[in-house]
Amino acid sequence: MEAADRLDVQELYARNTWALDLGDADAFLDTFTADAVLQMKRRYQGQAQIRSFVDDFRSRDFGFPRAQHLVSGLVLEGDGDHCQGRAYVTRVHRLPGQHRGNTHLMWTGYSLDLCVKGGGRWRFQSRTLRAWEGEIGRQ
Amino acid sequence: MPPPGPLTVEDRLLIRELYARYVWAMDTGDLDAFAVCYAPGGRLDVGRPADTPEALKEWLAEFLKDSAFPGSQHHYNQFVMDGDTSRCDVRAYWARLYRLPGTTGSQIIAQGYYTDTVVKVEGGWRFLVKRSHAAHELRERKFGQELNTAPPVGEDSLYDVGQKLFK
Repeated sequence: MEAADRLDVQELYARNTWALDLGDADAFLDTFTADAVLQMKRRYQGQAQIRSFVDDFRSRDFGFPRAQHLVSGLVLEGDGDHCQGRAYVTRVHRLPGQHRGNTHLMWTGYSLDLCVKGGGRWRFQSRTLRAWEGEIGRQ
Repeated sequence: MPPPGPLTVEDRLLIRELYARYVWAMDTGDLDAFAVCYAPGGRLDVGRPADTPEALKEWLAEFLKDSAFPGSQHHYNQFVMDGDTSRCDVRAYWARLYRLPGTTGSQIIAQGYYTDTVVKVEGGWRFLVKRSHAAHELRERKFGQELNTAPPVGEDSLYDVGQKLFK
């Protein structure tokens, strides 16, 4: 896997989390293939179901819109067309107010992902997010 | 073998990924994956030094007895790399996050920094020397002296800066 592909996939993760944390369903969907699977507590398959997830997230999630998903520990294995990614995912939440120390950790977990390149662009074929507990790495 | 050249973009990416593989191995308790992150003769210089694959695995096995395992993650950022295509000094911040049992909440339980040397061997970049320090040690140390070849960060350590900010 070449350096340019690695950078592109890193940016795919960044675009994906920016979109979710801003509640931008179009931008979020743009990071997935048409038949992609987003697996969390529930499974969302395809653009319509994934859009419904973002809509629910915007309207119901406790942390939205003051939280960020941070991606780190990204390990990529693959070639110029497909790759598997695994990453730590941390969600931090800024409480209202301008004082220091008003940010707390909401969640620590990880993702196991499949990325594919089509039309010169990398997208997620699947994303699986899990809490950092239990048997780590089991799909 | 050609003489070493300047670090390439690919080198920098692969060095960062070495850190990713390392913390994944540590936080999931994967002894073999942990030892593979070290070059032949590579040394972990934290607590009791370890410089063979067997000693490295023993070191991790001991570390895993920590009450925060399982359930914690090491995160790193703020990389500074000084070196060439064969060898590189790396410093980075780290923080250890712990998922509180029975809740969805988490907290930071430790933070510090690494001052490491990595080398390129067959198979990729590996640790030649790995050192980890608690954040408060920055008060007594300055980069560019005993740690590695990185330039000084200024008169104020991060600890001092933090003290001013949070006073």
